[in-house]
This record gives sequence, C-alpha cells and structure tokens, in this order.
Amino acid sequence: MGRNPTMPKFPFLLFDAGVIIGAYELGVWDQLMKQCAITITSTVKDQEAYYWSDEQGIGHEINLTEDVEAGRIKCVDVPLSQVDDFRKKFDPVYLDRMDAGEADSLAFLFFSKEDWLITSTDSHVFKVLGCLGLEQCGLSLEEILRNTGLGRKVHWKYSKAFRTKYTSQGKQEGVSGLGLRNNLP
Amino acid sequence: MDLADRLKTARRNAGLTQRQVSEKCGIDDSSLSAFEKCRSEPKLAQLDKLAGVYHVPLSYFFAESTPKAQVVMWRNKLGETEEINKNEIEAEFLQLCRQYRQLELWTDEVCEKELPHLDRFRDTFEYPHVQEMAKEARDVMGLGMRPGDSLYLVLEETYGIKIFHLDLGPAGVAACAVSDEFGDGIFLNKRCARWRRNHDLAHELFHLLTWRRFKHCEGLCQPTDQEEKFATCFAGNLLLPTDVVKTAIDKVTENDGRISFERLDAIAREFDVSLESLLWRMHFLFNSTEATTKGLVEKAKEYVKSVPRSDSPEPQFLPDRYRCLAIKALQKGEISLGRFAKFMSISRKEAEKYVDGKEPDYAKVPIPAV
Repeated sequence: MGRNPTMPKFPFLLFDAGVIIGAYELGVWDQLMKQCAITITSTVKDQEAYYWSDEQGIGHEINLTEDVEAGRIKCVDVPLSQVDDFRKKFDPVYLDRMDAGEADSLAFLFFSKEDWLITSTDSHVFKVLGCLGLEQCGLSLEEILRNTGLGRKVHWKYSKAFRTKYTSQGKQEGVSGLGLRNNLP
Repeated sequence: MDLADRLKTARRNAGLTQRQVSEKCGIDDSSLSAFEKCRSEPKLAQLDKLAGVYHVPLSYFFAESTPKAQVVMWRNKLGETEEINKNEIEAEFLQLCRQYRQLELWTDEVCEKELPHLDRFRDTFEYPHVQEMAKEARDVMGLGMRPGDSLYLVLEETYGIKIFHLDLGPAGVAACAVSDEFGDGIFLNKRCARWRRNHDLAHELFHLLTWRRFKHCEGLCQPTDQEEKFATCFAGNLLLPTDVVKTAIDKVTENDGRISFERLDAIAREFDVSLESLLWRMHFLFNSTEATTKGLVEKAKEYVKSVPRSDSPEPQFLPDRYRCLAIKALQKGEISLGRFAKFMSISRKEAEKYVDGKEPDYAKVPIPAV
C-alpha cells in the first residue's frame, strides 16, 4: 500500500550506493522512491551505483540519472570546499577510509541546516556519525522498510542491529578522542 | 601547494600526459587542463577517479603539507623508451605500500620488529663484510639453512616488509624503498620464476640493510655498480650457506672431481635457487676462473631449457598479510566497503562477500597455563 507522494515518509533522506543496490536486489527501489523523498549526491549517481546482481548473479544496470531527470529522486552537488571542511574535522587520513560518495554525503549532511537522515550499508558511515555525535542521523534500510510498510527479513548489513553496533563504536571512539581532530562546534 | 599544482604534480609523478589520463578515466583533456590551471574545480567523483589513475590517496589533494618525494631504487631500471611506464609502476608501488601502512594502523597491527642492524662496518666495506652480513642475517632472522624456503614469509610476517609482485614485463627487475611514511617495501617481477624471485628478494634485502650506508636516504636513486655486485654477493651467500652447499656438493662429486648438471640442478632445487645462481656461488667457493664459470653458465642455460622445472602458480598480486589486514579492517568497520574494494583491487560486488552473512565471530582460543 503506497503513501501519498506529496507526504513522503522521510522528507530528508540521503541514500548511499550500497543501499540503492540493496533496494534493487530486494525489489523495493520503485516503492521506496514513491514513499520517501530520496536524495543522493552526484558522486553516488555518477560513480558508485551503476549495477546490481540478481540471485543468479546476473548484473543489471542501475540508471539513477533517469530517476533524477524524471524527478523521482533528487541529486545534490557537494562543493569540494565543503568536503574539505568536513575532512578537517578528522585525522588527516580519515578521508582515505571512506568512499568518495560517502564523504560527500556525510559532508552534505553535516553542514546542512535541515534534519537529514542517512542510510547506508557501510559500517564506517555509522561509525563516523557516532564519532561526530550525530547518531540520530543514521537509519538502516530495515528501519526504512518497516516504516514504509515494506518490512521483511534483511541481511545483517541492512539491519538496525548493524547500524546501532557501529554507531555505538563510533561514539565510543569520539568520546575517547579518536578520529576527531578539532573540537566540534 | 594548491589543488591545481597537486593535480599537475601527481600526473607528472605518474609519468602520464593529459591525453593518457583522459583515456584512462574518461575525463576529457580540456577539463583536465582547466583543473590544472585552476580555471575550474573538479567534482569529488572526478578527483577520486584522478586519485585512482595517479595512484595517490584522495587525501593527497587536500593535505596541508607538501608530500615528500620518495626514493625508489630499481635494479636494472628500465629505460625511458621501454613500453612500460616506470613512473606509473613506481606510483602504484608507493600507493600499495601506503595502503598497507594504513591497514596496519587501522587494525592496530603495526609490525614493531625492525630489520637487524647488521651494517656496523665503519670505514671500509668489502666482500668479506658482505659475506659476514649474509651469515648474520640468516642467523639473526631465523632463516635456517635453506633460506629460499623461508625468506619471503619471514620478511613479510616477522619484519612487516611490504612485498608486492607487479607485472614488469619481460625485463627481470625489482626495486625497493625505505620510507618514514610506510617503512620498508620491495617489489618483484611476478613474471619471474620463484627461484629467480628468491634471488631478487635477497638482493633487495641487502639494499634495505645498507640503505643509509649508500646514502639512498639522502635521495640517491641509483645503486652504484659496486653496490649491485655487493648485493648479488649477499644474495648468493644468504641463499646458499657456505658449509651446507659445500657438503651437498662433496656428496655428489664423482671420483674424477666432476658433477653432472643433473645433480647440480637437484642441489639448486633443494635451495630453491636457479642453476645459474648455484654456479656463480661455486665460482666464489672454489675460486674458478671467470671464463670457466661463464662457459658453464651458458651450458646450464641450455640444460634448463631441456629439463625445465615446474614453477608454482603466479604469485598473488597482494601479500597475504595485506589481504588479512584489509578484511579485518572492513569487518571491524575501520574502512568503507568501496575503499576496501579499491584496496583489494576487486569489484564492490566481490567485496560484499567479505561482509555477507552474520556478524563475524572473533572468538579467541584459550591457551592453558603450563
């Protein structure tokens, strides 16, 4: 049962590449686009999410450009200076641990005035949120599916348990002063 | 150094023209030119592609300080006209070494054990010193009397030397580097046979042990001829210990004081070196004339063609320790999936296999008190 498209379940929702691929594999991408206001960064669109594999291992193309052009999802360009400012919050090599798509998604979320949520399949993204004290900004695919009436049994990396485990680890690291370079505002 | 300068420097360090970069990553050369002239700014996705082509981390473009140039010392450095772009190989090697170091740091698995300080000879340095160093290295590093079997593993696992097998084409080359940034690294030609690589590894070990003596820490990139001869002498002495080799040869020497190539090749196999290496070692052990040894080496080349050894499969591009550290970093959430895929040179889909299934079990094995 779909929701009214004018009233998206999550008005400020950032998707990373792994979740998009996962949503395709679970066959829920179209429903998610209808029920949530999904935003991606141009790095995720252009470089990271371009195919998914079915159960037989056959690859299928993902065309996010088409979804953006049709207005089904939004795409944002994150200026390099914003990524650089975000990077400065961490140890110098912190950026090297992330995908470019994650780095600009997190930078965008960090500097935005809106209450964005980010969903990811990557433990490192949740650790960064925990480390920055932004644990309320993380969301697992499992939670999104449950909230949109698409709930089902999901893989560990899509689960709420996965998100909370790594967010909590990141939080502990942040408290112990690991990872962060400057005192955050 | 601003972003434009860094882009230009990274491209030049990799020995690439804008056209070549464009072909590799699909960013057109007019955009590349604009980035390098500060007329426009790349998007992060483009910068990430360029980092991949130039073999530098993404953070290279944002770092506050100017990165220090790194000396890579080649054996038989390829000429500028060769098909292989040596700058690109160097850049790839350095990138792999840096990634290896990052994995060590992120998994808290930095190897504390340093190579032994064996180069204590003061003013003069001659062949007897090299021989002494080889013997001491074998003893101190626990390489045993057949070091060909153990050298690679001891260097990698015990001393944390970063050893990679790269495709250097048909040229039999190897290289090494000592760095404040990542420690000691060696690369070998993956196309060479294992026994040849053993010799190259021992040869490069000499350069690591004597890096300061020959002033490579001051930026000297090329070894002198004398240094190369010392390194070859060291490799022979390390892999073929005098007493053990002499005993093995005595056992098979016939009454007329001769040995067949067949038997010598069996000894070479026992020590996992080439027949040629064994003949040169015998040259020094038994003081034969150079002309005699050269003649025998030529004949040996013919012999090994008719009785070829079966080589083990091509060595893995990435060392086992590197791979284990990368998997650990991924499973502990220290590195993102996409970055892991890049570090392992695999697709994102393949990378997902390492985090499939349930949460990894890191149970510890109890060791009973004795």
